[in-house]
Amino acid sequence: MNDLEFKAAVEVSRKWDGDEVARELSDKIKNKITSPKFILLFTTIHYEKEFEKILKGLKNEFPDAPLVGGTVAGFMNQEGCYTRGVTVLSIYYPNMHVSIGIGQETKKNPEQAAIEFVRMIKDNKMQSEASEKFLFILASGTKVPSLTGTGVKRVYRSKISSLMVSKLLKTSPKISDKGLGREDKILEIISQNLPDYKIIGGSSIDDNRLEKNYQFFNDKIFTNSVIGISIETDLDILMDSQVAVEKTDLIFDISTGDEKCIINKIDGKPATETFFKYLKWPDSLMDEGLFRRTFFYPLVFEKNGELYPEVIGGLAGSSIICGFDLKSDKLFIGQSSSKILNNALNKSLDNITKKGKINFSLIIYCSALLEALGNDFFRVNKIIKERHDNSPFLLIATGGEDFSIPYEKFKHSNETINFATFIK
Amino acid sequence: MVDDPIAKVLDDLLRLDDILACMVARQNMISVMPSDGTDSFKPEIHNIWDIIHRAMEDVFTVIREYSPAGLSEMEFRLQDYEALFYVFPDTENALVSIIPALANKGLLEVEMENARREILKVMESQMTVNG
Repeated sequence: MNDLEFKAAVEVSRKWDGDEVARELSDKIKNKITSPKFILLFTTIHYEKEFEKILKGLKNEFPDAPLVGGTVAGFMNQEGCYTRGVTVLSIYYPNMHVSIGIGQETKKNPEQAAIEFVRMIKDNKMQSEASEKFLFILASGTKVPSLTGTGVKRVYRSKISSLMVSKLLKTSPKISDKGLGREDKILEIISQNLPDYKIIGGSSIDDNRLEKNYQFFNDKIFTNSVIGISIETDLDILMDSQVAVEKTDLIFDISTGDEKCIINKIDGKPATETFFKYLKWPDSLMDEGLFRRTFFYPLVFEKNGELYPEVIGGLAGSSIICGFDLKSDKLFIGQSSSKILNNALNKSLDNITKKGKINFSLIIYCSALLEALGNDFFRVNKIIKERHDNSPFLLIATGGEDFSIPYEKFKHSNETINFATFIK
Repeated sequence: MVDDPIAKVLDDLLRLDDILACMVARQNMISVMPSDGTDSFKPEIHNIWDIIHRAMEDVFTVIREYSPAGLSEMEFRLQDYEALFYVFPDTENALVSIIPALANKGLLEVEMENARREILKVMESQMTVNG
């Protein structure tokens, strides 16, 4: 076996017990890699009670490999597609310097958490210059606070509820780990402070209910943090990001309050009612199923020529709640379809297969797209698999996606497909 | 029953919160149930089970007719529930799950597809053993 060789193990366990999961994954990794440089671990929310066992088990087997990860809505690799299970990615390559970071209380103070994270990464940075600097990040995504204390609702039609929800979104992060994820702010600070890094990442999430999510840092479990791993290497890393949404000609002016992600007015009129009127949707569709219906009709703003789709997070009376700040007063209604999705995916695959042989791809995919696709997700798997020609890949479905190119752009958005492809 | 590998696949599916009931069935017959039978179905399904079961029978008429032509999935919504049918190719059998109408169906569909593939593998291996 050549020690200079790049080796990647992407493994899955579908067992239920945490000890068995850790054992199965450890054995599978060891079959390919004896001393991994790092381990990324992603699980679906179903393993919530098993996290401790899984993390301890993996750290016992690989004490020297830094481990980060968290919960995702689903994942995909060469073996298939899963919305229940646990997956790991571990890599060995000699010319690779790895460091991990964490910033806590992201919802209460995203700036401070991001700075804390950056400091850890910088403290462990390689002294000499690497040809590529890459960062993977995973931040705690939005958790909808419950108005009643039991269960989470996404649609509140009464005006009083609407007021309460707006207030809750503001106060929750001060007293709990719930509230808006603020991932856009986290990415902004990280990319500004690590401007020479290529960054890809996402928001940890549950099964798209937005009730809870977790982040892993070695054998510790967090609920309100940003974690990440920095990789400095001589490998080439190709980055690509595509929006799986097109603009329609439905365009309108919006006004927001203090919170730039809550739309109070559309064209000067109550936002919810006007949005439904423009889409010609009856009021009867203002129910908990709205989240699913709007995947194909996200709100979109444009900044520096880039489209930023936002999935509608909820309705609070006449206000529409989005997941991150709307950075324009003008919004479009976007549209997506399987054709648009396929085109976006193929464009990415064309871009990442242009240069050399692929060693491995890490793909961040919007969990809303996964929910919209359902079992057609297996078609996406077939396309990616064919274009990777036996090289491993791991796709994770997150609640929002982060993408940053050194000195060029950084972007947190929904309904995008993002590739970081390691090539020889 | 516990040793039936198809029942084991159904047991795994039923552990997902929003899968209220699941089975492998065809017209007039439930072929395989989870290990604990209907006892393992989520309690909320019991009130509506009779009407859903009757509606399922009508869906199986369509499945029987169109499965040879390539019908692979069907679904219906009844009150606050949805029934998903994942047909086993070229048979009159389907994997059936009942879920809440407001569940995040897309995510569940991925695991329905995994379950269908696993059951197909079991069926194929059983056919090989039985010659």
